[in-house]
Amino acid sequence: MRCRKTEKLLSKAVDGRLSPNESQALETHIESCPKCRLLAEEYQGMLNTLRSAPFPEAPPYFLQRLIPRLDRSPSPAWLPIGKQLGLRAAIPLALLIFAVLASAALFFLPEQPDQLSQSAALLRNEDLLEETLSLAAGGSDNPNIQMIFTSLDLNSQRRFP
Amino acid sequence: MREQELVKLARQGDRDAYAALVEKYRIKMFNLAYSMTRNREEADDITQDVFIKAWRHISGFQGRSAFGTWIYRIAVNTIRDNLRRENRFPRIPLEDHHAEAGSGENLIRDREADAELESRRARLHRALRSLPEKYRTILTLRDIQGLQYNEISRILGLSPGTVDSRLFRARRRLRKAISQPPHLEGEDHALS
Repeated sequence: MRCRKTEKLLSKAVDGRLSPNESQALETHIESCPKCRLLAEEYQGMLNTLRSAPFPEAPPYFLQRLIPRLDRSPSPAWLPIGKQLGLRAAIPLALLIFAVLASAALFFLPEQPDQLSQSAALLRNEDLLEETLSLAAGGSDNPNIQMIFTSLDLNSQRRFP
Repeated sequence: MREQELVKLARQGDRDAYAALVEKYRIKMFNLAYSMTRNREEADDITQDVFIKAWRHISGFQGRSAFGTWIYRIAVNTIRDNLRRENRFPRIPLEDHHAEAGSGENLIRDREADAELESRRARLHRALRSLPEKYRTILTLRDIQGLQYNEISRILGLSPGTVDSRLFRARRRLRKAISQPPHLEGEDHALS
């Protein structure tokens, strides 16, 4: 074993996380290497000091000081449902509601007649010009359409006297 | 009453159940905060803040982790925020004399040995304070609080392998910081 690995193994050793083989290798190395033996002592001393550090007593009346502050905070039971369920649950729920509303809207709305573009009409083998001419020739019951054709007649007379 | 039942009641707004949970964890939270700040009053303020935050958010606690893990996570984040603020507006440290005042052992032990131990401890904590926050946190959780690797992994949201390697680096940096001459201690103080 090389000295370079010693500290890594020491760190595992103090937590009891060495395999029997690693433990054996570390022990053998430390016995034969004064530098690593010193490092091991230093390491163990440092962690013992850290682990044995005393804590001061916490200031008294902790709960008595905390309760009035809790009173001023909103009670968890009264928080909105989104918070109750947590944000992770709220987002999929919102998406689900949106999807249901969208599909309901598609299902219940009246179907609109197709407005064909010229290319779409050609693909369907429909002749828009013929349809328009038949309307102009035969007339239509719809007063709006009648007005459109009347104005077209007036315009063409003005343009081509 | 079992902890899970207390948590369930607390989620419904039962303050007595919550008070029982506070009573169970307040010393642990105080010790964690004290280990990171070395200031008794500051640690007490942080502990209060931790339990206020936990009360406000307990309805969002899903119970996927233990309540202890959850409260530790809140505490680590609160301490982290506090240290960042502290880094901008440093307090004058009132460290360690409280710990000494609380101990009656000094009267029994040999005074010289005590003085040496205290000096070593003070040096160690100065070195600990000089470490980046992520190393200080992991050392505190493992070597001062004595938490298990899997608990630390859940609290910090790290993989067990990362806990292992970060802990090794933290210990190595602490050892090097202690070996530094006193006038150089704390030079690499940084939050990361």
